[in-house]
Amino acid sequence: MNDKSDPAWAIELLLQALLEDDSPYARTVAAQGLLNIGQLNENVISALNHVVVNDPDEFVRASILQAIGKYYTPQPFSMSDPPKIQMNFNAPVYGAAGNIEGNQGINTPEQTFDDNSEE
Amino acid sequence: MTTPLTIQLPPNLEQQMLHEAQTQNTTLEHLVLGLIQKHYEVNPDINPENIHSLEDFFNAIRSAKQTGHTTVQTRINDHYLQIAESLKRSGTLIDFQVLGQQLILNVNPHPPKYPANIKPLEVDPSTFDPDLAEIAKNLKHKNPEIRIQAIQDLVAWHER
Repeated sequence: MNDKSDPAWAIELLLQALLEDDSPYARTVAAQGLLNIGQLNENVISALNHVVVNDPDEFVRASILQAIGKYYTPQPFSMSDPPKIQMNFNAPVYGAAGNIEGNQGINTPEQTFDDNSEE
Repeated sequence: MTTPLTIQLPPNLEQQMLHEAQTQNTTLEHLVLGLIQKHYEVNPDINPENIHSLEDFFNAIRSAKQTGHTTVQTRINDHYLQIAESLKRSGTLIDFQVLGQQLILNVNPHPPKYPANIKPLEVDPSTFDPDLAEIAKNLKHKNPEIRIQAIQDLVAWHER
């Protein structure tokens, strides 16, 4: 990583803040930043797991644990295999509408009818 | 789930252990169980059957580290195994074993502050592009509020 404008440097610096900053809140913000960026490579996951066990601050441990809990939550399908959902909004609808194949409707993105009407 | 175990104690050992149990105001059964737990360094406060969630799992490892009972045992699942591999690389675990459906973790009572598999960053911030160099400089600022702002700026810089 010789290019000093490579975005990967941001992850390296966030890891450093997570592991070295004296402020518990700064460490929490660094962890949230890493999770928001979402490039959870082996080093990032390893650092987060390490901090959940070893960080002296309970708030830091708890907030990271809550966030990485989502990472370890089993997903019923992969994003490369999108759910086959056919939604129809031709008339006023007051409940779930559409055809869902199997159980692939689990964890579908939350949408309101207003969101769809704007498209 | 517990496993009943019947053992034949030689008379002299039985007398000695009964006396010790009376001295400790406990039963012979609890005395023997305590000795076995001590031998295997099993933390009596961590019951594998009580680990139901990721939080329980991490708490059990942390508790083991703090109490010096360096073995944690739980039912295996894919996530616990992934985390065990990650924690072994970072030095939080000395090792782990899979025995049937059980995952046995050997917790390092003195893990490194910095994960063993991650090298501390050694780079001159002034060599970054100007925006990143400013952020990197602020990450080392004395004022935590400025450091926190720099961390947020870092995320924005990555997304730019």
